[in-house]
Amino acid sequence: MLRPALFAEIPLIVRQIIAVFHKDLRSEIKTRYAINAVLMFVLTTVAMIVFSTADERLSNGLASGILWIIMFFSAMTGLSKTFVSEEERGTGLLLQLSTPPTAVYFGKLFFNILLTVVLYTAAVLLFFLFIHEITIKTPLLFVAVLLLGSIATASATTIIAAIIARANTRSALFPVLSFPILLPLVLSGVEATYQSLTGIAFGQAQSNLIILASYSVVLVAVSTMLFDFVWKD
Amino acid sequence: MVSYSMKALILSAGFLIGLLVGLFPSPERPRPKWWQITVFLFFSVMIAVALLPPLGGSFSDAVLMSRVTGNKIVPVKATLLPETLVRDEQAGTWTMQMRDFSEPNIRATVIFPFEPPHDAKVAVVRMYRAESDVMFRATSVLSTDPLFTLPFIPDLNERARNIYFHVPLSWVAVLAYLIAMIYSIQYLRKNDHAYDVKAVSAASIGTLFTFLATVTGAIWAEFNWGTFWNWDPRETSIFILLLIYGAYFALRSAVENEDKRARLAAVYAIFAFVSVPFLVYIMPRIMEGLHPGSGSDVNAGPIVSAQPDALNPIKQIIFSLSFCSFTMVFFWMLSLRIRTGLLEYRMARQE
Repeated sequence: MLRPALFAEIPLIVRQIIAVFHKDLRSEIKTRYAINAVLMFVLTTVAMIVFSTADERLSNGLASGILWIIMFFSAMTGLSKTFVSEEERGTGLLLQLSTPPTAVYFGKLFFNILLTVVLYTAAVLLFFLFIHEITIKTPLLFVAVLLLGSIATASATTIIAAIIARANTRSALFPVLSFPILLPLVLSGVEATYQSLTGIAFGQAQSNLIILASYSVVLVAVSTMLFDFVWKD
Repeated sequence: MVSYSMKALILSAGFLIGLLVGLFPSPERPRPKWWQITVFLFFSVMIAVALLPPLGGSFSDAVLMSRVTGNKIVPVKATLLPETLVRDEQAGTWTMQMRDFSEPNIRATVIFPFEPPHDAKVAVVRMYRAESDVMFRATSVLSTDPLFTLPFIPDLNERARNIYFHVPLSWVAVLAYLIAMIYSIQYLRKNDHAYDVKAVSAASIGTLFTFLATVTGAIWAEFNWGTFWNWDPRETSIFILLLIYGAYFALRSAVENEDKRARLAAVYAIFAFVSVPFLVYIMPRIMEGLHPGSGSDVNAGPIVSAQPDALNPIKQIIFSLSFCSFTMVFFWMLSLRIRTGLLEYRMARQE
């Protein structure tokens, strides 16, 4: 981490955000609460798709759709863990007492962004390992979609995860609540992925990336305002 | 024909009267008797004028439809010229000249297989193009001296009447969600449980209206576009609206604690609303789709278009009336639902 002298100069809220992020990261590395199960889930899904497509040649449109299905459901299994685990271990109350809600929200958001990037990268690597006929013609665009898509997914689902951690039927409720909010993102994500597979130049495909970025900004802004009501008892 | 500003005026009057009368005296107070009678009258008049009057096209509509395969018979509204009536004994038919109602300088000869009405001035006659563009063959007389007629829209035909139900229903579906969101914000600000009851009432009636808008749209799509569902951008947006309403109630049923349920549901209602303006008002206008007013379409859709064929005054007034009546009926249902909801809540508190 950062040297203590440098650390002291950073505003308190940023330090708190970093602390929450750091805590979640260390706890994840130690327990592997989310990552192991979800990586296995990704592997299972990709294997399932490889078997079910058999010898069929996937078209670019179909491939980008299937890729987003894998990515969506892996996010849906993994991203609720940050809040659900607090609730299950009973550590939520301690966190409420020691840290302001904004710091908790942003700490968890950054952790979720990192988790989503890892999950999406794993999904993409496995997908291209098993399915050879698809090639990425505009790699820069593809990486940008992956990155912005991760940020957008995490910013849409972090507050939903906080909501469902308080409800009873958690695992079923998470995709149900997330889907209407994620759908605009998935639509632009699928289209931009398709563009990167067919080889459209980066400059021509910016509109979808702009939608992904601006929608994330709006979602994070609204989440910041609403998070207090979800988090505080 | 009316000017574009006139059209805007008529439509905004409908919106405004609907909202103002609908909100009177306030959403949760009982409605006075005169209010109930007024809304009932508005609604029945609206249904009558949307369903009963005949469609009245022109001779050029009949010519246009003759080039399209399928139903070539068009109801044409025209002025009768009884002095030109000629009886053809050999063929057993009557021929008469008629003057087009909307374009008075166009005259055409119509062949009637029965005796045409002669005591009327104007008639709506179902006919199709015969040998030339000024020669038509009548099949039946729909109405004589009609008070007014609805515009004939090629391809839509009688199905055009659905516009007076489907479009206002969709508008109320979004309005109901907007109101549910406003009540949710109020709940979070004031922490008063009555606002939660109001939000859930608006959402439950909104679900009904969304469902009706989807069904009327799907039936219309089946007969105009060939399938019940095409994933047109507007269909996608109403689908997401249905999903949001569904998710809202799924969340409510998953939380037992009353305060927690109200708070979480309110947060979700506000958070999910972020995408709605974009999905309902922006995306369908940018992307290509089947609805009028989409990105690939030349006109801007029936509501904001300035094209002459979208500026029929009768159509505008009925459209405005139907917006107004559906909004008022929505607020009536909402007030009933809120009041029963509040009573239920108070009874549960007393037990």
